[in-house]
Amino acid sequence: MANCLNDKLIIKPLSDKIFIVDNLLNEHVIGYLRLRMEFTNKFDDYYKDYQAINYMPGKDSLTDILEKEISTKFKLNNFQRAWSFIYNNSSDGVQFHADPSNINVNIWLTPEESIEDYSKNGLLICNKKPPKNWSREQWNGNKNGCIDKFLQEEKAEIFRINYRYNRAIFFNGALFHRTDGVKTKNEIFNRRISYTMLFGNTLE
Amino acid sequence: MTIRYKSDTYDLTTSNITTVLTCPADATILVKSLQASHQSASNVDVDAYLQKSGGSNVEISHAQLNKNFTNMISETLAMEASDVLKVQADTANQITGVVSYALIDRSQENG
Repeated sequence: MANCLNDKLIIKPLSDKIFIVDNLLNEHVIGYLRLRMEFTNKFDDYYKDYQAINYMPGKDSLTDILEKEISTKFKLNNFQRAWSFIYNNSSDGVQFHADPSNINVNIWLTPEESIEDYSKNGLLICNKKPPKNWSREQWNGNKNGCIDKFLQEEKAEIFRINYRYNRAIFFNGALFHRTDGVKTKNEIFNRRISYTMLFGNTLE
Repeated sequence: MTIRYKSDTYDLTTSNITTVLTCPADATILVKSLQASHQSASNVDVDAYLQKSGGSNVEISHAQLNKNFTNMISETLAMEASDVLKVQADTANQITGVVSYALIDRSQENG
Protein backbone atom coordinates (compact mmCIF):
# COMPACT_ATOMS: atom_id res chain seq x y z
CA MET A 1 0.00 0.00 0.00
CA ALA A 2 2.53 2.57 -1.15
CA ASN A 3 1.70 6.19 -1.98
CA CYS A 4 -0.56 6.79 0.99
CA LEU A 5 -0.33 10.57 0.68
CA ASN A 6 -2.40 12.55 -1.78
CA ASP A 7 -0.42 14.76 -4.15
CA LYS A 8 -3.00 17.58 -3.93
CA LEU A 9 -2.43 18.69 -0.36
CA ILE A 10 -3.86 21.99 0.84
CA ILE A 11 -1.84 23.30 3.78
CA LYS A 12 -3.15 26.12 5.99
CA PRO A 13 -1.25 27.37 9.06
CA LEU A 14 -3.52 28.35 11.96
CA SER A 15 -0.72 29.41 14.31
CA ASP A 16 2.95 28.60 14.76
CA LYS A 17 1.94 25.39 16.56
CA ILE A 18 -1.12 24.34 14.56
CA PHE A 19 -1.60 23.74 10.87
CA ILE A 20 -4.27 22.05 8.81
CA VAL A 21 -3.65 19.75 5.87
CA ASP A 22 -6.68 18.96 3.72
CA ASN A 23 -6.81 15.97 1.36
CA LEU A 24 -3.94 14.29 3.21
CA LEU A 25 -4.57 10.64 2.34
CA ASN A 26 -5.42 8.76 -0.82
CA GLU A 27 -8.89 7.22 -0.90
CA HIS A 28 -7.75 3.60 -0.69
CA VAL A 29 -5.88 4.35 2.54
CA ILE A 30 -8.93 5.99 4.11
CA GLY A 31 -11.03 3.07 2.95
CA TYR A 32 -8.80 0.60 4.73
CA LEU A 33 -8.43 2.70 7.89
CA ARG A 34 -12.23 2.96 8.09
CA LEU A 35 -12.85 -0.66 7.20
CA ARG A 36 -10.86 -2.08 10.03
CA MET A 37 -12.64 0.13 12.55
CA GLU A 38 -16.11 -0.55 11.12
CA PHE A 39 -15.72 -4.32 11.03
CA THR A 40 -13.65 -5.22 14.05
CA ASN A 41 -15.33 -7.10 16.88
CA LYS A 42 -12.63 -6.27 19.38
CA PHE A 43 -11.20 -2.94 20.44
CA ASP A 44 -8.22 -2.31 22.69
CA ASP A 45 -10.00 0.32 24.76
CA TYR A 46 -13.67 0.91 25.48
CA TYR A 47 -14.71 4.35 26.70
CA LYS A 48 -18.12 5.76 27.60
CA ASP A 49 -19.16 6.60 24.06
CA TYR A 50 -16.23 5.72 21.82
CA GLN A 51 -13.77 2.88 21.29
CA ALA A 52 -10.11 2.71 20.25
CA ILE A 53 -7.52 0.46 18.64
CA ASN A 54 -3.82 1.04 19.38
CA TYR A 55 -1.20 0.82 16.66
CA MET A 56 2.34 0.58 17.99
CA PRO A 57 5.48 0.91 15.83
CA GLY A 58 6.35 -2.36 14.09
CA LYS A 59 2.98 -3.93 14.93
CA ASP A 60 0.82 -2.59 12.12
CA SER A 61 2.11 -2.45 8.56
CA LEU A 62 -0.17 0.41 7.44
CA THR A 63 0.86 2.54 10.40
CA ASP A 64 4.52 1.83 9.58
CA ILE A 65 4.01 2.93 5.95
CA LEU A 66 2.08 6.04 6.99
CA GLU A 67 4.74 6.93 9.53
CA LYS A 68 7.44 6.67 6.87
CA GLU A 69 5.59 8.76 4.29
CA ILE A 70 4.32 11.43 6.72
CA SER A 71 7.62 11.82 8.56
CA THR A 72 9.44 12.19 5.23
CA LYS A 73 6.95 14.64 3.74
CA PHE A 74 6.61 16.83 6.83
CA LYS A 75 10.10 16.32 8.30
CA LEU A 76 8.86 14.68 11.51
CA ASN A 77 10.81 12.23 13.61
CA ASN A 78 10.64 10.02 16.69
CA PHE A 79 7.30 8.39 15.94
CA GLN A 80 5.74 7.06 19.15
CA ARG A 81 2.43 5.42 18.31
CA ALA A 82 -0.93 5.75 16.61
CA TRP A 83 -4.57 5.13 17.47
CA SER A 84 -7.84 4.93 15.70
CA PHE A 85 -11.09 5.96 17.36
CA ILE A 86 -14.68 5.26 16.45
CA TYR A 87 -17.36 7.33 18.17
CA ASN A 88 -21.01 6.63 18.87
CA ASN A 89 -23.32 8.66 16.63
CA SER A 90 -23.88 10.98 19.55
CA SER A 91 -20.84 11.37 21.78
CA ASP A 92 -19.00 13.86 23.95
CA GLY A 93 -15.77 12.51 22.47
CA VAL A 94 -12.37 12.79 24.11
CA GLN A 95 -12.27 15.44 26.84
CA PHE A 96 -9.51 18.02 27.40
CA HIS A 97 -6.12 16.36 27.79
CA ALA A 98 -2.52 16.75 26.68
CA ASP A 99 -0.38 14.10 24.97
CA PRO A 100 3.34 13.50 25.55
CA SER A 101 4.24 14.47 21.99
CA ASN A 102 5.69 17.38 20.07
CA ILE A 103 3.45 16.80 17.06
CA ASN A 104 0.04 15.11 16.90
CA VAL A 105 -1.37 14.28 13.50
CA ASN A 106 -5.13 13.88 13.83
CA ILE A 107 -6.91 12.73 10.64
CA TRP A 108 -10.68 12.53 10.07
CA LEU A 109 -11.91 9.64 7.95
CA THR A 110 -15.72 9.76 7.87
CA PRO A 111 -17.33 11.44 4.82
CA GLU A 112 -19.08 14.75 5.38
CA GLU A 113 -22.47 13.37 4.27
CA SER A 114 -22.40 11.34 7.50
CA ILE A 115 -22.35 14.48 9.64
CA GLU A 116 -25.61 15.46 11.37
CA ASP A 117 -24.48 18.59 13.20
CA TYR A 118 -21.82 20.66 11.45
CA SER A 119 -21.27 22.77 14.59
CA LYS A 120 -19.77 19.63 16.16
CA ASN A 121 -17.34 16.87 15.21
CA GLY A 122 -14.25 19.08 14.98
CA LEU A 123 -11.36 19.66 17.37
CA LEU A 124 -10.71 22.30 20.06
CA ILE A 125 -7.09 23.16 20.82
CA CYS A 126 -6.00 25.50 23.63
CA ASN A 127 -2.92 27.68 23.58
CA LYS A 128 -1.88 26.29 26.96
CA LYS A 129 0.38 23.41 27.99
CA PRO A 130 0.30 21.79 31.44
CA PRO A 131 2.41 23.22 34.27
CA LYS A 132 5.81 21.52 34.43
CA ASN A 133 5.14 19.88 37.82
CA TRP A 134 1.96 18.08 36.72
CA SER A 135 1.79 14.27 36.61
CA ARG A 136 0.37 12.20 33.71
CA GLU A 137 -2.78 11.64 35.79
CA GLN A 138 -3.26 15.38 35.76
CA TRP A 139 -2.36 16.41 32.19
CA ASN A 140 -3.79 13.33 30.51
CA GLY A 141 -6.48 12.26 32.98
CA ASN A 142 -7.84 15.59 34.24
CA LYS A 143 -7.47 14.39 37.83
CA ASN A 144 -10.03 16.16 40.06
CA GLY A 145 -10.96 18.42 37.14
CA CYS A 146 -7.54 20.09 37.26
CA ILE A 147 -7.41 20.79 33.52
CA ASP A 148 -10.78 22.54 33.49
CA LYS A 149 -9.78 24.69 36.48
CA PHE A 150 -6.38 25.46 34.95
CA LEU A 151 -7.83 26.52 31.62
CA GLN A 152 -10.35 28.79 33.34
CA GLU A 153 -7.73 30.41 35.54
CA GLU A 154 -5.35 30.90 32.65
CA LYS A 155 -8.10 32.33 30.41
CA ALA A 156 -6.94 29.99 27.68
CA GLU A 157 -7.51 30.89 24.05
CA ILE A 158 -9.21 28.10 22.14
CA PHE A 159 -8.81 27.35 18.43
CA ARG A 160 -11.80 25.60 16.87
CA ILE A 161 -11.08 23.43 13.83
CA ASN A 162 -14.18 22.42 11.89
CA TYR A 163 -14.71 18.85 10.80
CA ARG A 164 -13.82 17.98 7.24
CA TYR A 165 -13.34 14.62 5.58
CA ASN A 166 -9.67 13.75 5.00
CA ARG A 167 -8.53 16.74 7.03
CA ALA A 168 -5.41 16.37 9.16
CA ILE A 169 -4.50 18.70 11.99
CA PHE A 170 -0.83 18.90 12.90
CA PHE A 171 -0.34 20.45 16.31
CA ASN A 172 1.78 20.33 19.44
CA GLY A 173 0.25 17.44 21.40
CA ALA A 174 1.21 19.03 24.70
CA LEU A 175 -1.38 21.75 24.09
CA PHE A 176 -4.64 20.84 25.78
CA HIS A 177 -7.14 19.62 23.22
CA ARG A 178 -10.48 17.85 22.99
CA THR A 179 -13.12 16.61 20.58
CA ASP A 180 -15.68 19.32 19.81
CA GLY A 181 -18.54 16.89 20.51
CA VAL A 182 -19.82 14.33 18.02
CA LYS A 183 -23.15 14.16 16.23
CA THR A 184 -23.40 12.03 13.11
CA LYS A 185 -26.37 10.55 11.29
CA ASN A 186 -27.80 7.41 12.83
CA GLU A 187 -27.06 4.78 10.22
CA ILE A 188 -24.48 2.14 11.00
CA PHE A 189 -21.66 3.38 8.76
CA ASN A 190 -21.94 7.06 9.68
CA ARG A 191 -19.91 6.96 12.85
CA ARG A 192 -17.03 9.42 13.17
CA ILE A 193 -13.68 7.67 12.78
CA SER A 194 -10.32 9.29 13.33
CA TYR A 195 -6.70 8.20 13.12
CA THR A 196 -4.07 9.89 15.27
CA MET A 197 -0.27 9.68 15.19
CA LEU A 198 2.14 10.98 17.83
CA PHE A 199 5.66 12.17 17.02
CA GLY A 200 8.36 13.36 19.43
CA ASN A 201 8.52 13.26 23.22
CA THR A 202 7.53 15.89 25.71
CA LEU A 203 5.99 16.16 29.20
CA GLU A 204 7.50 12.82 30.34
CA MET B 1 -9.13 -1.24 -4.03
CA THR B 2 -12.35 0.73 -3.68
CA ILE B 3 -14.51 0.36 -0.60
CA ARG B 4 -18.10 1.58 -0.66
CA TYR B 5 -20.34 1.42 2.38
CA LYS B 6 -23.89 0.51 1.44
CA SER B 7 -27.21 -0.66 2.82
CA ASP B 8 -30.22 -2.29 1.15
CA THR B 9 -33.65 -2.77 2.68
CA TYR B 10 -35.89 -5.77 2.15
CA ASP B 11 -39.53 -6.68 2.75
CA LEU B 12 -40.55 -10.33 2.95
CA THR B 13 -43.93 -10.20 1.21
CA THR B 14 -44.03 -13.99 0.80
CA SER B 15 -42.89 -16.94 2.90
CA ASN B 16 -40.47 -18.00 0.16
CA ILE B 17 -36.69 -17.78 0.43
CA THR B 18 -35.87 -14.26 -0.79
CA THR B 19 -32.57 -12.87 -2.05
CA VAL B 20 -31.47 -9.76 -0.18
CA LEU B 21 -27.91 -9.38 -1.47
CA THR B 22 -25.82 -10.80 -4.32
CA CYS B 23 -22.07 -10.27 -4.42
CA PRO B 24 -20.94 -9.05 -7.87
CA ALA B 25 -18.58 -11.35 -9.77
CA ASP B 26 -15.71 -8.85 -9.54
CA ALA B 27 -16.08 -7.91 -5.89
CA THR B 28 -15.97 -9.02 -2.28
CA ILE B 29 -18.56 -8.01 0.30
CA LEU B 30 -18.21 -7.75 4.05
CA VAL B 31 -21.61 -7.81 5.72
CA LYS B 32 -21.71 -6.01 9.04
CA SER B 33 -25.32 -6.56 9.92
CA LEU B 34 -28.52 -8.15 8.66
CA GLN B 35 -31.35 -6.63 10.65
CA ALA B 36 -34.75 -8.32 10.76
CA SER B 37 -37.69 -6.58 12.38
CA HIS B 38 -41.21 -7.72 13.30
CA GLN B 39 -43.71 -5.15 14.55
CA SER B 40 -46.58 -7.41 15.64
CA ALA B 41 -47.07 -9.50 18.77
CA SER B 42 -46.94 -12.95 17.17
CA ASN B 43 -44.16 -15.46 16.72
CA VAL B 44 -42.45 -15.40 13.32
CA ASP B 45 -39.50 -17.68 12.53
CA VAL B 46 -36.82 -16.10 10.35
CA ASP B 47 -33.89 -17.88 8.71
CA ALA B 48 -30.87 -16.47 6.89
CA TYR B 49 -29.11 -18.48 4.20
CA LEU B 50 -25.85 -18.15 2.31
CA GLN B 51 -25.63 -19.68 -1.13
CA LYS B 52 -22.02 -20.02 -2.26
CA SER B 53 -21.39 -19.62 -5.98
CA GLY B 54 -22.71 -22.78 -7.65
CA GLY B 55 -23.80 -24.25 -4.33
CA SER B 56 -27.07 -24.68 -2.47
CA ASN B 57 -28.63 -22.66 0.33
CA VAL B 58 -26.98 -23.15 3.73
CA GLU B 59 -28.76 -21.84 6.80
CA ILE B 60 -26.45 -19.55 8.73
CA SER B 61 -28.75 -18.15 11.40
CA HIS B 62 -32.23 -18.45 12.84
CA ALA B 63 -34.35 -16.20 15.00
CA GLN B 64 -37.89 -16.13 16.36
CA LEU B 65 -39.24 -12.60 16.48
CA ASN B 66 -42.21 -11.32 18.44
CA LYS B 67 -42.62 -7.55 18.37
CA ASN B 68 -38.85 -7.07 18.30
CA PHE B 69 -35.83 -7.08 16.01
CA THR B 70 -32.49 -8.83 15.78
CA ASN B 71 -29.19 -8.83 13.93
CA MET B 72 -29.00 -12.15 12.09
CA ILE B 73 -25.19 -11.85 11.63
CA SER B 74 -23.33 -11.63 14.92
CA GLU B 75 -19.85 -11.61 13.34
CA THR B 76 -18.75 -10.19 10.00
CA LEU B 77 -19.88 -12.30 7.04
CA ALA B 78 -17.50 -12.38 4.06
CA MET B 79 -19.20 -12.91 0.70
CA GLU B 80 -17.12 -13.91 -2.30
CA ALA B 81 -17.89 -13.46 -5.99
CA SER B 82 -21.48 -14.45 -6.85
CA ASP B 83 -22.37 -15.55 -3.31
CA VAL B 84 -26.01 -14.83 -2.42
CA LEU B 85 -27.48 -13.87 0.96
CA LYS B 86 -31.12 -14.82 1.43
CA VAL B 87 -33.80 -14.54 4.11
CA GLN B 88 -37.02 -16.45 4.72
CA ALA B 89 -39.87 -15.96 7.18
CA ASP B 90 -42.58 -18.54 7.92
CA THR B 91 -45.26 -15.84 7.58
CA ALA B 92 -45.63 -13.37 4.73
CA ASN B 93 -45.76 -9.59 5.20
CA GLN B 94 -44.39 -9.64 8.73
CA ILE B 95 -40.64 -9.13 8.40
CA THR B 96 -38.70 -6.17 7.05
CA GLY B 97 -35.07 -5.32 7.46
CA VAL B 98 -31.82 -3.93 6.19
CA VAL B 99 -28.48 -5.39 5.22
CA SER B 100 -25.43 -3.12 5.80
CA TYR B 101 -22.17 -3.98 4.08
CA ALA B 102 -18.91 -2.86 2.52
CA LEU B 103 -18.52 -3.56 -1.19
CA ILE B 104 -14.85 -3.96 -2.10
CA ASP B 105 -13.81 -3.92 -5.74
CA ARG B 106 -11.53 -2.19 -8.22
CA SER B 107 -14.22 -0.08 -9.90
CA GLN B 108 -12.74 3.36 -9.23
CA GLU B 109 -9.07 2.59 -9.69
CA ASN B 110 -6.83 3.98 -12.36
CA GLY B 111 -4.05 1.97 -13.92
